[in-house]
Amino acid sequence: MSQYEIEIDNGTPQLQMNKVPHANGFTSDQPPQVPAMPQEPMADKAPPTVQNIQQLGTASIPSPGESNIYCLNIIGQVEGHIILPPQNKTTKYEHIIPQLVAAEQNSKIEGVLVILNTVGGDVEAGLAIAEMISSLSKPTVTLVLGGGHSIGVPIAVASNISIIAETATMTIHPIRLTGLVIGVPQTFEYLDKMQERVVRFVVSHSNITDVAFKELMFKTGELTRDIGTTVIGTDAVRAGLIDEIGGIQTALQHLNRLIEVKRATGTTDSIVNKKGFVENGNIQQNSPEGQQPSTTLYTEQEQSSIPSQSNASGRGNQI
Amino acid sequence: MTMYTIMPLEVVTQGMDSHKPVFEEMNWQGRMLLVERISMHEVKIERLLQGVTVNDYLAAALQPGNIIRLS
Repeated sequence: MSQYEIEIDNGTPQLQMNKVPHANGFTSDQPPQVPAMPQEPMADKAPPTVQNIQQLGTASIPSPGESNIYCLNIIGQVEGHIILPPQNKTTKYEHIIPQLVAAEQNSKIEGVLVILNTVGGDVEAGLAIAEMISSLSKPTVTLVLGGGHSIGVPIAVASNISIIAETATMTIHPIRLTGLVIGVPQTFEYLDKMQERVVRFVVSHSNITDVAFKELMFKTGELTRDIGTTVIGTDAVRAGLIDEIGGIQTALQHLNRLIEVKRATGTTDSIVNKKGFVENGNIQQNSPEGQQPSTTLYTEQEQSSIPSQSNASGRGNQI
Repeated sequence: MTMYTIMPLEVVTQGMDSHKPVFEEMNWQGRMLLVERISMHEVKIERLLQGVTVNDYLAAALQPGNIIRLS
C-alpha cells in the first residue's frame, strides 16, 4: 500500500508518496479549490497538540459533539458502484454506510435524523442505505425536504417515523433503463425484479398497500416524460407513504420522544408498528407544519413513560 | 448499475468518459485516507478508508471534502 509519510523529526517536513491511480476514479462532492476549513501553515517543530490544531483545526480528534442526535444528509443522486460525473451532486454509498455503523455503535448517539432531498439514484445503493436505516437499533426519523424521488422513496420510509414538508414532493415511477422501449423480455423481467424489491420494501415499511403503491407507480397522464405520479406533501401522507406533514421541529420532537421511550423501555420494538397502524385503520390526519400532531404515533403504555405527553392515542393502539 | 432517478439518464451520465480523477492512499495519523491532490501542499479527503476507531467516521475533520494541508 502506498502512503504519505510525514517526517517532522529533522525539522523539515518531507513528503513521500506513491501515486495509486484508480482507473475508474472516485468522484468528489465539492470543487477542489474550495477549502473546507481554514488551515494554518504547519510549524516545523510544533508539539502534537499544536499540530492537531494546525492540521485538523482542533486540539484533539473531534468527537461527535454534545448532541445525542446524529444528522445525516442525503442529497442529489444516490451514488453506488459507478462513479457519476461531477455535474451530479451525489451522496455516496461508501460515505453513508460507515457513518451509520459508527452512529449505531457510538453510545453517545441516541437517535438518527435523516434529511432527504434526493432525485433518486442507484437501486443497490439506495436500498442498502434504506436497509441500514431500518435495521438501526436506535430511533430514526426521516424528513423529506424538497424532494425524495425514485429510490429516495424507500429511504424516506425506512425510519421509525417519516415526516414530509408540505411543499416537498416524491415521484413514484417504474424502474427503467432509458425511458425508451424495453428491447427483450429478459430485460423487462430483470427490471421488474429490481422494481419488486423497491415495492416490497416501501410496502413493508410504510402504511401504503402494494396495490395503492403500484397504482401510483403506473399512473398515466401525470408526468410528461414517464408514467407514474408526483405526490406532494399531504398526498404522500394521505396515501400512507409518509407518516406526517412537518418540518425540522416536528422531526426533532418525534425523535426526542422516541429517544425517551427507548431510554425508558430499552427497546424500540414497540414504538411504531407501521403495519399495525394500517390494520387498525387509524390513519394519521394531516397537520400543518410546525403544529403539534393531532394524533400521536405511540401507544398508551409508552405515553405514560413521558410525563409531558397528554394526548395518548394513535398508532399501535388496539381499537 | 440500475439507476432509479427522475433525472434523464443522458444528463446523469454526461461527461462520464472524460471524468477520471486520480486518488492516492495516504497514511494520516494512523488513519488510512483516500485523497485527491489539489496542490503541492494540499490534499482533499475523498474517503476515510480505515480509522483508528469506528468513531473516526463521524469526525468532522475526516469527512470527505475536507482539505489537509501537509506543510
